[in-house]
Amino acid sequence: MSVRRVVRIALLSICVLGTPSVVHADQASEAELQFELGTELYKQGHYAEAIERFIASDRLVPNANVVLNIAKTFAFIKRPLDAYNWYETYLGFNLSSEQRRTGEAERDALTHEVSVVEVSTEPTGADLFIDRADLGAVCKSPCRVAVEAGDRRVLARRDGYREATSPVIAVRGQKESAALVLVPILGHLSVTSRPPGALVHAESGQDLGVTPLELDLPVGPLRVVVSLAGFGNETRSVDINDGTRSVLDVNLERSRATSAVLSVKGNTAHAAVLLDGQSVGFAPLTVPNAPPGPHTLKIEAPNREPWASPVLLEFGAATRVDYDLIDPRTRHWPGWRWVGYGVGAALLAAGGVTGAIAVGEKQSFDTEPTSAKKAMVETKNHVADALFAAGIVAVGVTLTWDLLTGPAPASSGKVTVAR
Amino acid sequence: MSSLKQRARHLASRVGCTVGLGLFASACSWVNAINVCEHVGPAQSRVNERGDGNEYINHPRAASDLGNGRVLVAFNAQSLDLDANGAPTTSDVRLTLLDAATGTPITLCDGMSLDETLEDSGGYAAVASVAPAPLTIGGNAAAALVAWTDLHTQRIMMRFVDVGGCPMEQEFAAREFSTVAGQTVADFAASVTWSPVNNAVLLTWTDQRDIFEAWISAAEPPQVLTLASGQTAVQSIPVSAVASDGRTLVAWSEDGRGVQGELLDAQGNATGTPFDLGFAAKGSMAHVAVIAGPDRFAVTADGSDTPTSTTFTYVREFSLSGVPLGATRRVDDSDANNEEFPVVAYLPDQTLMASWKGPNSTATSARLFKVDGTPRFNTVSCDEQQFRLDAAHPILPGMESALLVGGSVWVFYSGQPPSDPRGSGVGLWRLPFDKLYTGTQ
Repeated sequence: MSVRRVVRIALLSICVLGTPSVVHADQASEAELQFELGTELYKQGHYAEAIERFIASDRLVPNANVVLNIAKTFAFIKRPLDAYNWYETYLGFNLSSEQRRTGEAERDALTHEVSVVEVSTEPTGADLFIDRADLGAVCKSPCRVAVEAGDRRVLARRDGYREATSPVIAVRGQKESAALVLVPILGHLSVTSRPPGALVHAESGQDLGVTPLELDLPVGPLRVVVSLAGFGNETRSVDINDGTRSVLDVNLERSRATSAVLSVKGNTAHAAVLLDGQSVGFAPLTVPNAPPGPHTLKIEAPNREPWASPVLLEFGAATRVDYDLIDPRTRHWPGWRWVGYGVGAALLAAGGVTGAIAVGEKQSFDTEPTSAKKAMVETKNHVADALFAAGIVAVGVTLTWDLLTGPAPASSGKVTVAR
Repeated sequence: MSSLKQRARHLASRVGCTVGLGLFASACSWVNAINVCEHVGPAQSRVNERGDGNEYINHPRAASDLGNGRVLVAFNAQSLDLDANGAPTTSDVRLTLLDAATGTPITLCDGMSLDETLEDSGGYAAVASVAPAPLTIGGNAAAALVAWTDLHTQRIMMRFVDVGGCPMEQEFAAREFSTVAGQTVADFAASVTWSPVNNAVLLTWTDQRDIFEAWISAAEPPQVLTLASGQTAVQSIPVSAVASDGRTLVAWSEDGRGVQGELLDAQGNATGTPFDLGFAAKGSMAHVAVIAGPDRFAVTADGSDTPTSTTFTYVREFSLSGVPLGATRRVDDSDANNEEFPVVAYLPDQTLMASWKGPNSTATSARLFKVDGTPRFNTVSCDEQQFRLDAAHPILPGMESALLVGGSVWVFYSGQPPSDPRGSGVGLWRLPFDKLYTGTQ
């Protein structure tokens, strides 16, 4: 079979292997075009130009098949080192087991022609360079890369980490290993808050500590969130710079709650709790999201005297109500005291009227004294005295009873607010 | 804590109300009390100083306006020692001079004791009568004229007394200036009354059959006139009262005819014949007294329909013309006991005060009357009833004397203080008018 025939078969197989995956239409179109140009150049035997087109296509739309074409073409033109590395790239795709087995076999077939270095870094994901960074990264760690035999130097770079290098003696046909540790680049961050004791965490969710806080962090922009119960969260941006101390001083503001808490309990279970006439449940209960503001709270239960009171539910505060509902059936009739005072007042008033009449009659007596007038005055004086005395006795007895029994008990409640 | 505060407020309100009502009630009770009867009681004192416990002293008669604020009292003092005929061995008329302001005895003129025997004849003197007599007698100023009965000589005797209480010159007898011969007098025979209009003392007496009068002045010798003659049996001294315009009422009692009277004009002349004063009791009237008020006379007497029946005291008022002002009335119609020896006095506001011995001579009582004759409220008994004047010791029979001294009414009476070694004496009850009654009629 001639070389030309082999290339055709290879290109045909490449075409059969498929087209690039889903990309933007313009990129996909250009990648398709670059691929077709590369294929045509390949057919014409212009392999280097073909590789150039293929690479351009891959850059537009990374495609395992294009990469495989690149690898095969490099292998065809006897550039095993490039071919090996493109096979490594190809094997980085999500391949079927058959494709992977085929790709590994074709790669391994080049092993005896190249020197292989297997590079790992801690942490991974670093861009790896061979000998000079300006030649471009060959892969991202961990990866296997083919290099020219001889003394090589592996460079690893990753943002936030200091560059790491490792010398490698590459021997053709052998596999060497290089492990590099990337040291992070740190800056110092000082966080204080008013009040202190606030929790500091990165916006990504990483907990950093509690203020006042002193810690070292990787350099780079950082957004931190400072939070404290009862206060609003504060978010700050800060640049962590290498070897410098960044300071954050956060003044926390009290949070404006949007609801209040109402807690009701008392001496009567299952008492209905009404807020502005609307039932909110039965005691004991806690209403965690009561509407703040002035309200009228009423507690009522069967066979109990209801109790009502204006309450002010404050934002973010807990209003506790402890009620004491009285059974009116156990209470003395409250009217007795007014009967007593009324009788006493009536007697005193009658005494006053009688006394006033007696005063008038005494004036008549003083003007023209007679025994009849004297007897009348004295009689009325005595009657007035008796009425007064009876009135005072009535008031006194009622007062004594009143004082001994005290005011009639009524349903009551105590409202406290915990802020 | 809230319960304690509530109870404290409860207590404060109730206590405040009770205290207020209590003060109100107390104030009403105190303010309206009738306290006009709660004045200091009337002054009670003994008038005469002499006495050895062996005398019987009664029939005090008094006269004020003697000048120098003095009151002259004449009274009868009889010895308890009796002669063979059962009569007192001595019976004198004595004088006592009192301070009008205090009612206490003051020393008589030089050389005389606080009370002194008036007559110096050693006679047997009976009940006296005394009247102011501001006359010039023998070149000396007289203050009063005292008249009495000398039962030994059956004469009406008189003697002037000066402002110091000293008897002036010698005593003189009414018979000396009488043109009526053969007069005899009874125990209670003469009365003297001062008439400022006539500037003379009116002497009236009786021989138990005729009624005589004589005006004693410094100007001319007295002339005896017969006011009434041939009466049945005159039982009392003919007494007189002179009104401010000079009109005079002479009154006396006769057995079976009751109380009779005769009106004299301002010149002392009888204006008609004696007339019956219309007292209810006609049987045995005695002890007549008469007083003149601003527009009227008041006549009082005691008596009964029969000598054995109960004696009551009566009073009746007349106009200055002798017209009866209402019916005769008892001074105390609630008393069923014996009453006697009434006297009357007109107090300010034309209030009539009657005083008498009763009931049953156990007390000296008095009663006030309005101008319409109805009883008047007094502040001693605190009603319109009679009130007691004496000092609650045994009362001796005999006339009282009531007169006005300054702003007070004085009543003399005779009594027997049980613990006084001087024996019986003349008591004095005196009280300011405004303490005796208040208000208007």
